[in-house]
Amino acid sequence: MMLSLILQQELARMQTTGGVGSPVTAYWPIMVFLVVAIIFPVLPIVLGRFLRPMMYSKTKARPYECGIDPKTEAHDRFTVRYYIVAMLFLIFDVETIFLLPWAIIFMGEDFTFTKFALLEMFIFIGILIVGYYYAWRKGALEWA
Amino acid sequence: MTLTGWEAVFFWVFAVTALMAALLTVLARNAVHSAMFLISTLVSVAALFILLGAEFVAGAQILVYVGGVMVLFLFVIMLVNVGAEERGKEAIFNRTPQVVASLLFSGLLVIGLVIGINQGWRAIQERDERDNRLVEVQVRRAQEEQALPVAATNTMKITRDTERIGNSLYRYASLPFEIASILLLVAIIGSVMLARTIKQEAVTDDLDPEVLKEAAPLITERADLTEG
Amino acid sequence: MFLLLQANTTELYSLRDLMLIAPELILTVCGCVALVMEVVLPYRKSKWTAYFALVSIGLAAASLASLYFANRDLFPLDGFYGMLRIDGFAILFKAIFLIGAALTVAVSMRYLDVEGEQHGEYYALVLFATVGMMFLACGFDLISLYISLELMALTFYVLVAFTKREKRSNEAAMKYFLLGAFSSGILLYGMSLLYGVAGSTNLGEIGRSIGVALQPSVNELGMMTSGIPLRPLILLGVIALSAGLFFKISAVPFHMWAPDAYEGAPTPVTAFLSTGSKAASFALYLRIFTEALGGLRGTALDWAPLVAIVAAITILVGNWAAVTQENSKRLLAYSSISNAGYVLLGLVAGNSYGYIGIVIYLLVYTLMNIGAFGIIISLRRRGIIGDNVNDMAGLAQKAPGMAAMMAIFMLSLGGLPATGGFIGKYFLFGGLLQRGRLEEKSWYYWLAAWAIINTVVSFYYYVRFIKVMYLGERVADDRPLALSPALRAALVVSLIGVIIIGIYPQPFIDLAQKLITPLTAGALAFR
Repeated sequence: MMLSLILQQELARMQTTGGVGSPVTAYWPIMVFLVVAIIFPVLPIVLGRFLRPMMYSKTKARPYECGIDPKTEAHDRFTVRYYIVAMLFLIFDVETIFLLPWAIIFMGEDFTFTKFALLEMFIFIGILIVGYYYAWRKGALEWA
Repeated sequence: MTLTGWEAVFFWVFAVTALMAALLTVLARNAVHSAMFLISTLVSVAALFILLGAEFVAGAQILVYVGGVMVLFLFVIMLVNVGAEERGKEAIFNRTPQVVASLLFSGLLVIGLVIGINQGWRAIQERDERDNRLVEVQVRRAQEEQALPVAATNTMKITRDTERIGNSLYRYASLPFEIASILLLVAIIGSVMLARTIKQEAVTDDLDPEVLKEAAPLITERADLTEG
Repeated sequence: MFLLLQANTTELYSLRDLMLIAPELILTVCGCVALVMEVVLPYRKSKWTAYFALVSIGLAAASLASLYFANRDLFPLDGFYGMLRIDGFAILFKAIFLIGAALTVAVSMRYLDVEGEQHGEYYALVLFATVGMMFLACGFDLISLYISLELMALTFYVLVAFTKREKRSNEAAMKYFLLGAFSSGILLYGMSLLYGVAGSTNLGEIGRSIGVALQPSVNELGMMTSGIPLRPLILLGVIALSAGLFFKISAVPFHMWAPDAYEGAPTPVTAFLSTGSKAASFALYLRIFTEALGGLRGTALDWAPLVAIVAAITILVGNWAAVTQENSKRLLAYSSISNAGYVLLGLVAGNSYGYIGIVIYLLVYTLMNIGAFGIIISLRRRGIIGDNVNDMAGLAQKAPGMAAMMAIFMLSLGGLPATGGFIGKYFLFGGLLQRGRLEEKSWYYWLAAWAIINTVVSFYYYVRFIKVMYLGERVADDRPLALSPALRAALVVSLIGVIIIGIYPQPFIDLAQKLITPLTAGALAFR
């Protein structure tokens, strides 16, 4: 009832604007994708629950049915190297985010701004390259 | 501003999802589960940003928070092995004074915010109308919107949102932008320096001779472990 | 939204803007060079980085001085679209930070040797922290203020954890980081509320908008529209801002992190944290609360009672908790908490007396606190931490000069006349009395009396150091104190500063009065 009302409103709006403009319309494909992404894993699980034969055995209840029995818990400690890698990834990820709006605007009509923006970004990246050099020479990027 | 149509539907869906997932983040027993719920909170909030028309913020949210911060969270959780000792031992809400105090303060904050925003919203609107600032902005926005090209998928016009952010970030806020690079540099130094193993330090000649002498057996032991 | 409007002007920066931040530029470049030096140099030559850091601080000080002499009448200069403002206030605080940074580097060298952690990163980080502080002193926009605050805070998280093989250092860093990040969040929340109310992040704009919002005005229909609807939002913003800033200056009830962080951090970092970081947070506090929120004084949203109550409690808790401490770093942490309370009194006074008191007190505090921590550093030996009060026992026989210096620093911290601490306290309390007379409100007098009573209490624990040094049993360790030349120089410089300001304060007072005019002018403009 409610839903049909909303649908009617939305249809009316789509006709007047040609479906262009509202943020929601642009993300319809993603919404559809989201729904498919939810259904895709949920459906087999639910279906499987009803379709599969119910047979349990001791062997089957083990974490791994074949091979060696697990000796330790699944939650094992990672080495600290993963942490450094994740941290560096995050820092340069943030740097990349800064590049995106810059890349969109730096080539505008005003060429003085282009020069300025280039300089600005060179300084930004230059300072980070010092950090990169430091991390590199200190062996933070070596795995062994 | 009232929400209509699908915007309302999506707002409520994502708002409720964000709240529920945030609640589950706090309540989950397993730290890894908490991190997973935090991811769904962040994604829902990103969707809310899109509804607000802030595409760049939404994208940054997904890239940095969901892609970067959460990976780091998971690594840290697995690094320190949270809860291996106390798994299932302790109830979460067993400290009455703390729970009462935090509920009291968050309640006060929420009440204050609701009162403040309810009263302030109208006042700000009135003031902006008086100064003609809001009208000016709205007129300009509308003009800009007219001129926008339609995207290739024919579902939407290409927005100028990111461009606007860029213009204010790289002109008006260029100094804080450069300070941010120093901030990131310090973050690099901190993470590399604090997380290096003693072996790595020995390799790059960063150890005090006496510390090295004390740590020598440890280093060879570690080397055996990593090779094995 | 209005921020985006502002961005539409097409004018770009000139060389003048860069000249305004020359000291910060020098420090940033030198910090990067120091980092590269750390990579290139072998461990045993790490000290070169320290000397290089000292030189670069000197260069920055020289360029700051040239900035001052180029603009003797101290006309406030705005740069980078109003992102920063170079005025007397900014120059004064930058000078304090540079002094603090130089002294910190000087006292660090030996300490790091003893700890076996003589790494060049340390000096690079000190330089970057100083950059953050200096941008805090001259920032005039919430965005640049917040990001420089974060730069400073992040650097200190790393510095506190610098002796990473030490458990206490790690614990301290963890506590400091968690609470610091939390308080930054609250601060940012307050800032965003202010931005929402004012529609701008520029402090001057915010001040104007709030002034307009609070003024009753008559609309077209002849009805009175008062600023009342915006008041709850402004109030929330002020409360959140204050809470975040109270964390940063370690005022009660947000002081819990300070003793743990101060105790666990490497001692030179504690010295820098309790002086530079605190002074920078006060600079931020003064900037926001005079330039943006100064108009609230005397209205229904007056923040002075809030600050006064917090200051009174801070002074009480800091002093009384310090009495029972056995660890001297922890004791000085509580002393630093109580000192934050004293400095807040200057903000409550809000007149030129109070502001002079704030800057002189912060300057003297920087000198005497780094001096006191320098002496604790000199007691540090491999195997002896030296941060227990009783470790000083018999110091007067072993090293009479050091004991005398420590005694003077302690008496100055207490505020004995003829030391620098007295001058600062004199102006802080005098400002309160003056304000009380002007407004004819008795609570200013009561507050001043409260502070004086607690100052007397504070002498108990400061004199305890002296008692232990001069009357205590000499500790078994007979080796003389190994002082590096840099540490000795830092101690002497601090001592001379404390004594000169105490005996002949007039030039400092004149200079401070001249330099803080922007604050008093800002406060007057709203009345």
